[in-house]
Amino acid sequence: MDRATVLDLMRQILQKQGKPADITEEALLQEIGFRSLDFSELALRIETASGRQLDRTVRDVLDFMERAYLGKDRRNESGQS
Amino acid sequence: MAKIVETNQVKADQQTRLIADLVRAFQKKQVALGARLAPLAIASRDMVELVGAVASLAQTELDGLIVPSERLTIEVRDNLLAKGYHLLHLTEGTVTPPEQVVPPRRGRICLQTSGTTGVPKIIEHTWQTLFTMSKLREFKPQNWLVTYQAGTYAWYQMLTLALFVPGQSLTLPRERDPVRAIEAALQHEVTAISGTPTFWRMAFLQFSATTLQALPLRQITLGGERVDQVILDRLQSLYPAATVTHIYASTEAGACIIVRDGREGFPIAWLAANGQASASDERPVLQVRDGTLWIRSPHAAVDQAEWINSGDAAEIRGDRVFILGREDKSIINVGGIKVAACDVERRILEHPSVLWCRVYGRKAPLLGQLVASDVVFRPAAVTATEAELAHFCNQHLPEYMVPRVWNFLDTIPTTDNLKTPVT
Repeated sequence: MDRATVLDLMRQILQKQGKPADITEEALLQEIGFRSLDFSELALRIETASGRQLDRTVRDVLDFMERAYLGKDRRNESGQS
Repeated sequence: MAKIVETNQVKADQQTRLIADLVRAFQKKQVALGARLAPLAIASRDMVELVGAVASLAQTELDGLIVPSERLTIEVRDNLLAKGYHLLHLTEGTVTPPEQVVPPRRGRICLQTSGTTGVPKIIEHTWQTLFTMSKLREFKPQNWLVTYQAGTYAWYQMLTLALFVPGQSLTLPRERDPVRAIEAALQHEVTAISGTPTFWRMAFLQFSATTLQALPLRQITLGGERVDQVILDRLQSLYPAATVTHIYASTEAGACIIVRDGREGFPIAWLAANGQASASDERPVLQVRDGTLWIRSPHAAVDQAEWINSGDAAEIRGDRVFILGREDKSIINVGGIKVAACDVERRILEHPSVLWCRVYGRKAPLLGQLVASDVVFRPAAVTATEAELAHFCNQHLPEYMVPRVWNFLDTIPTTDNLKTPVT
């Protein structure tokens, strides 16, 4: 699942709750009102779309964190914030 | 026995006599063989035959159990034979002997639980414990539509009413499909219907209000599952001349709560104080202990503990006690916050487009569970979107109670007993 699709899912979740859905990657979560319930729904939607459970094992969590960390490093190296 | 109306051309009383003869012949054969009178499980595809079988059991005082063909799975059959039942299958014309002989107890009417978690348990009643209406005030003559599955507690309530209370007739639809049942009700002009809220919602899905109002109903009894305020109000507005009653009963504890004031739940005054020992033998005694309904009842099955844990979550709110549903299924844990599914259902059902809904916990990452809901819209109503329903819920419910997953269904899923299946 690519970033654009996940971003679109985030917009759908916000829109369903009547919150402004025209968000960019730079938007602060607190300001757009994207909270733990929304994170959980987003993860569930990704699970449903991918057919894969995100947090089935400890390895799943470690892989997720590692990918997130490495991904962030790569973005920083390429000048992204 | 009261007159039994049926929806085919076979004479019910004639059929009842034939079954009585069959059961008596079986009894004589056992005696002739020197066998001890084993309990008898009677199976059939035909509900009228099964009513006749009950009448025969009442006459012969054999221990007996009624099982409709659709419930006679291999597991159920094996369980009955292992527990010492002769299996008499009226439709197939077969008798299967039990694997072991058990001592007769005489006059026991045995019921199977729903068996949603495995092989059904067998619960023993007597005619005394099953007939719960003897202490009630006068009964007006009624022609009742029987909507319940044969052999269940609610079905026996209808039969004991017909067997022991003068002036009561039963209409037995050949098929338990709600459409056929309502057609039979219209044809035979039933004046009373006892059924689940789901039965009525299926009727609303298939028939117009005008068609349903042609039924000359004077009594509507709801039971078999949780009864909500929306269905109580809808039925009362559709049938202003009818008394709308709702009943709480279980196979183990019997019929315990009968509410006639048209409101969901029951009055808090009906609860007994902890330790109260002045319970009469005539009325059930109710308590809420640690959020669970406990019952002491003269209508309880044989060999039950004095106090029976109903397994249903209950909560006191204002002047009422609300029964929330099964303890293990009715509470959704959203990140550590407990949500009663029925509170969400109540709000969704208030939406003008919604006919039926079922709220449950959906396993979700991070928070453990999220609230989910299946929905069926009213026929001819303008359907609502997920966003509209979420907004409607948000107006009265905190954010964690608003469903995050919505499934829009075309038909109402039901169990064999016309209840909404618990997910």
